[in-house]
Amino acid sequence: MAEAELVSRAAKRKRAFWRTLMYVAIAAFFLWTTLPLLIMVLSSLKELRDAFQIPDIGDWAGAFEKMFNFTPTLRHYHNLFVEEHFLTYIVNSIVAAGSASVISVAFGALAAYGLARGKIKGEQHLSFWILSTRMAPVVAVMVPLYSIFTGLGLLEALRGRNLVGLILAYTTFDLPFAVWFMRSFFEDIPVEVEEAAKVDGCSNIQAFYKVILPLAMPGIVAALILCLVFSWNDFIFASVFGQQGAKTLPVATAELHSTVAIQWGGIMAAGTILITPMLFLGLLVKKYLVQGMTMGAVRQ
Amino acid sequence: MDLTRREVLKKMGLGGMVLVGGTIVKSPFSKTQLAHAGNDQKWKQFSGSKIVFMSEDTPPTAAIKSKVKGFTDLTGIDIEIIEEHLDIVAEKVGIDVRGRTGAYACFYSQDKPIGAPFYKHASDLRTFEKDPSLPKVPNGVGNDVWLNRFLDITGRFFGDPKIAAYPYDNAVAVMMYRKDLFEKYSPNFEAEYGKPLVYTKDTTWKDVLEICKFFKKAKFPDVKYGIALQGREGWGGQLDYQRVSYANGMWLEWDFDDYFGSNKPGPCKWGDEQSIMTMGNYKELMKYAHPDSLTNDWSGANTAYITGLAAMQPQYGEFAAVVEDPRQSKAAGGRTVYELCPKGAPEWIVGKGKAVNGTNCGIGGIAINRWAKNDLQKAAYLFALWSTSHDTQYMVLKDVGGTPTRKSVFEMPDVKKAFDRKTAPMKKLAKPVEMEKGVMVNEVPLMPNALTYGPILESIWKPQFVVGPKVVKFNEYIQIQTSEIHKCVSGLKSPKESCDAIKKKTDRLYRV
Amino acid sequence: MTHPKEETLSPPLPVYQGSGPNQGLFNKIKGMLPFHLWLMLPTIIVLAVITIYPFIWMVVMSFKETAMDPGEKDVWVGLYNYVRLLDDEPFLNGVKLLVWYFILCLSIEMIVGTSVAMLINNAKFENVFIVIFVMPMMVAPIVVGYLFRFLYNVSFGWGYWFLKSTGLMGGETILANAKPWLLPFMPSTAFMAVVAADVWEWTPLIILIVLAGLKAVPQDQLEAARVDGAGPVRTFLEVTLPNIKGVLLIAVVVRFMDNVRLIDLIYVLTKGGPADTTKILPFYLYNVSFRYFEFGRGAAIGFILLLFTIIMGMFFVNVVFKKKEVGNNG
Repeated sequence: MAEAELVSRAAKRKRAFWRTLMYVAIAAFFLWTTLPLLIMVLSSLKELRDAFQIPDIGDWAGAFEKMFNFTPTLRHYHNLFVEEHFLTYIVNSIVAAGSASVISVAFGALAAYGLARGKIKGEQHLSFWILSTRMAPVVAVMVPLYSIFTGLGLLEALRGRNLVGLILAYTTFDLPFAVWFMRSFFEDIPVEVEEAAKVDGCSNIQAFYKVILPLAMPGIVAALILCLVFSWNDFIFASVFGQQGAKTLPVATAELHSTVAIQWGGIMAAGTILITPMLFLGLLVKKYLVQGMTMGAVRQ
Repeated sequence: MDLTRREVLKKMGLGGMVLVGGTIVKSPFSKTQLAHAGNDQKWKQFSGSKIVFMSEDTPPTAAIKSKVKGFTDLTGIDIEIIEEHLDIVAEKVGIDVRGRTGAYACFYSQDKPIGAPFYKHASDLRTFEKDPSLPKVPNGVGNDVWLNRFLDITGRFFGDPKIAAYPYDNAVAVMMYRKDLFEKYSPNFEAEYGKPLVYTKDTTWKDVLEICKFFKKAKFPDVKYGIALQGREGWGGQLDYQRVSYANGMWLEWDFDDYFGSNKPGPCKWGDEQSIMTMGNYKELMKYAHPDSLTNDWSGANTAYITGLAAMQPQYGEFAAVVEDPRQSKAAGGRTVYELCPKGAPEWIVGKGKAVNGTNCGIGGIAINRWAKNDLQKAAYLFALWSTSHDTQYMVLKDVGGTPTRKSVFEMPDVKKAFDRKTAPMKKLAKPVEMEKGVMVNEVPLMPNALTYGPILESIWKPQFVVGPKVVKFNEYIQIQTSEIHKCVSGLKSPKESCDAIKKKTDRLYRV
Repeated sequence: MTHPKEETLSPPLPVYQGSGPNQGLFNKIKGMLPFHLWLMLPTIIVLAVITIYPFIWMVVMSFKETAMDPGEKDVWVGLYNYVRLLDDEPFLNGVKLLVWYFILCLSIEMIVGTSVAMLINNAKFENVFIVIFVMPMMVAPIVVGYLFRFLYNVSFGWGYWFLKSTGLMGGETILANAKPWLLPFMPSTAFMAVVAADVWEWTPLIILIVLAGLKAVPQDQLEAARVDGAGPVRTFLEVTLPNIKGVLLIAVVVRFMDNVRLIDLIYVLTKGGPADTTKILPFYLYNVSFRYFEFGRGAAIGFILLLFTIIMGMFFVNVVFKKKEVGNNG
């Protein structure tokens, strides 16, 4: 009896030890993730002279004071919205990233379904080829892309055209990703489901959107969200193809680094703006992405 | 009105609807009719048109952008001014001219990084000068109206008589230093080195090194380092290094004409004794300079200076506006003095080389895109004339802070008064700023850049002025150069190895 | 598990033909391609237009030397651009650094990401953690670059202050530090700083993907392992890992593709310096194409980079995460 007690006490201590380690690990990662974000948000509210203040090396006590003791100012945000027209850029980002993602996922879903169902030999390879179109280093193919876009008239400095150009540019890397990603979701759905639908009198197309689509929806939303993230974050395409008409948030933020000075206040404010909608997206992500990935991943 | 560049930038309010290259509304008059018309008519001949100017986002362009209504009123032309980082300007102009698109009717042609590689893609301005249907500006655009040989710098390349660009802005290096700190710590310095802590025209780079060692060792509470350098890879680093290499022995990489450059430079002089000695000395300087000096370019160095971490910085004149703004800068309120760049030190020179106050520059030009439609080019020429005219440069300098390139602007009486802080016109701040406990500053110079003009006007002459190297493939050359300098400064290579590596790669680049 | 609908099997019926006017023509066009290829057509057309011409351009360009001046033609030089690379120090340096970069970034991100995912899976505040941990990924790389440039700055950077205060760093500067980090053969401190920024931004992506995979691990298998008395390590190795292999593959490939392509972070933090120690191959490519405008050389480098990415991708898919035989999925 005593021995069992001893064993279980040792086991409990071992468990407690691992549990503490777990907590420490999570806490450490939490700090690692949030501290830079915290500094970013706080700096966006500080006057530059305050933002540049750090305590002396080793002065831990002073750290708290330097970080939190300041007179907050909304000057940087005011600057962004009033003088830099950031609202326009936010809209541009949303429109371009959103449209490209929706288009990519729409076409991509069709293609993924086709790939999944079609009896094509070597479809694993075809799907990889599609993905590989996304692997090309953009810089190397910028010149021909530039001439394609000029030829299509998308680079004239009209907002509408530039936005279309940007959406097309984003589609070039969203679409392959969407197809590759969603293929396995569609493969997961057994053929019997469509066949049952056809028994009920559906055509191929109807079977697709009435029956298959709802089943694959989590995967589709997952692809949509990831495409949104990739397009939202893009810099190089927006910088070259967005031109003046369709400046997006990342490009606009980079412009706050002028030749004479880096506008840290503005940059921090822009960064804070970037993460705010993501708070909402994060919840969406949780709901769909987790569920979505569950479905198809297993089959890889 | 506030000084900070960002607050100066006004909303464009120009509609922003511009097509590739722009749109031209032709004048109802024929060319011959225009040739006999008055200047006013000539200015207005393209009224209703639109063009695009691709420029670097420097204060002069921001200033011109805020005053651009004057141009539109004069000509009726709608101009869109795009401002980008210099690298991006080079990139976009490069793609544009290589693809012969002509989207930017005129572009900012910074002498070496953009002018040299692309000068063949710029139209010859002399054709516009000779065209009787185009207007003229008072004093004209001949060699002598610009500061010393600036037209050669921006406009003439490699012996080609064509004029590629008019001088549009000037960035000439001066030394900015904290006189207040120097005075405060002079006793300490004197105790250690036996001479007062001062900076003059005759201060050498070796003296600067001493000052840096002094400050770094002393660890004063209000300043940490002697100097903030700009060693960032690329043009910033090349210019930074050149100030030291040229001051000590007037060393140049090649022997061709400094003002015109060469498109077949031949073998370079890297690897010779002087270059190795300078490399070693630069490494020493970097050791005692502000630690971020290797990654800083001009804006990074300026931040180090205005936050009070460095007591000196070799910097370009247009930064004076920020330096003199007490809301951003601890060096404002009369604490900063502007002087020539340091001289070479005899101990740092090999052989018979001369010691000079090595000063270098980036003179930006405004060039016309050869691939734009002919009439668009003429409209762009009108802008080139207007933006570099005396009235515009003077107005911009007074109101917002520019860097004029015409001699006549420097001769205006109120500008001359602004050279010296004691006579410079000031303007009151909306709210006084507390620089430090009990020290309030409630006014700033009206034309802060003018405080640098004294040294600048003195330094833009030979022998102390160095303009080049104006070579093709300039951008790749400076990458090679600064890359190796970095390796030497970081201790990865010896000075000799670095210089030899530069020589090998550069000669290969130019197929020697 | 995945499909709630019918389970009855019925023999396959002929495809529904549809009715209405013009049935003949419509069906004729329809019949030209199998239904599934129709579905793929828009995608294939778009991708072909956007990718085939640039790809061919790139390959052809790699055999030429570009002329800078107008009026001069590009010169055909055959394999010169490629051969020259063998002797090109920035290229070789770029390759070496790129290998370091993706090995360091990917391994750290995968290990940390998977561990964190496992830790928060079914934890008490799981939802809160997810929302917070996902945030770095949502900040554009360019902005992350500036944020870390701010943090690493010697004059006012909290990151710098922290590293110095805890004694973790001896040197004087982070981003200008070209000395090897820790061991002499390792890349520089500045390089590790860039890796840190990349890890900060992209670990959330891995966490998300792996977390999803963890949710799919069949409960019965976990239950069986617990009954068996398997400790956490054994459970992980024998039950969890095989089940999330597919998910791990997705994570690795997705991350790898962008890691070797995007240079936003480096562009803002170090521009390839100091002393070329962060000049990974894609950054060198950017310099050659967009600074020197040597499109021929750039195309050659680009092609090599593309080949490298494809080969590594195939390596991951076929070797590391080889699909199990059909009929045996977890």
